Amino acid sequence: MFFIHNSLIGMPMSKTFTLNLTIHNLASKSNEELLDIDTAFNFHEEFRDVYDVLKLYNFDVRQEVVDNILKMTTQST
Amino acid sequence: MKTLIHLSDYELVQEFVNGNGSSLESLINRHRKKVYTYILLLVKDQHLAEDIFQDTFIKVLKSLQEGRYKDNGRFLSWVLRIAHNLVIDHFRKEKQLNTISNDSYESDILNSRKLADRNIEDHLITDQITKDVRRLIQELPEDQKEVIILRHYCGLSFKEIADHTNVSINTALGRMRYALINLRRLIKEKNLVLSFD
Repeated sequence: MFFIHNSLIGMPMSKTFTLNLTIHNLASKSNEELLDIDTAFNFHEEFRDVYDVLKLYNFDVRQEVVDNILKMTTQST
Repeated sequence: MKTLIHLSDYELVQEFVNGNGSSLESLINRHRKKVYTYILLLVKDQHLAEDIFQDTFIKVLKSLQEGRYKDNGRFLSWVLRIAHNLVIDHFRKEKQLNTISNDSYESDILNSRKLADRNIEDHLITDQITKDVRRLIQELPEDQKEVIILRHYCGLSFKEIADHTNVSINTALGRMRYALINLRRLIKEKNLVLSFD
């Protein structure tokens, strides 16, 4: 439940204000509700151009490194 | 009967604890790109990132074997915390927080297997793009950089990021937005062309 002060009624809501209202009291939400919040605030639509750039940084560890870890796992078990 | 690939992180951990060694391989394969990219963005050196990646999963392995992992549905977040601590340990030991050579990093990237199959021209373009994107991220304030890495590259939820960084979800969301706004500004300011086209 949100409390909106009388002086705010009728005022145009900024995005920030709306955001603050929406995520108010998130601590009480369940994991499922929080997942919904993640979906709602994924920013992908608004910042598609930035995400396109971020996606260009994309690395994976060499398979040899993983194999080495797995070899140690076998030895330790 | 579910195959390993369909099991949750928790179920894979249970399989490993019960003696199924191949479940660890599934866990590593599921999260390797996220964990490695997280470390690489922090240390900026391929060989160092590989060492820390290995140390991270050795520590994970030991913790699981000793029953020190208490699942709360956040296996990846726990692994990233271990990786983060190992990165900090490394910098403390080496006292080289500001002395990492970009040259060695760039050379490492050129020599990496991922790029080995491409031609030289593609190598150079990829290397330049990689450096540019990394520099963009490095220019962000620390708190914004962290949330971009954890959210975009590691795929943590905002709740997990909030827990990981000891801030409220509201703050994590705000940092993400500011980070994206700042990145857009930096891309524009530097007039970067980040494309293979």
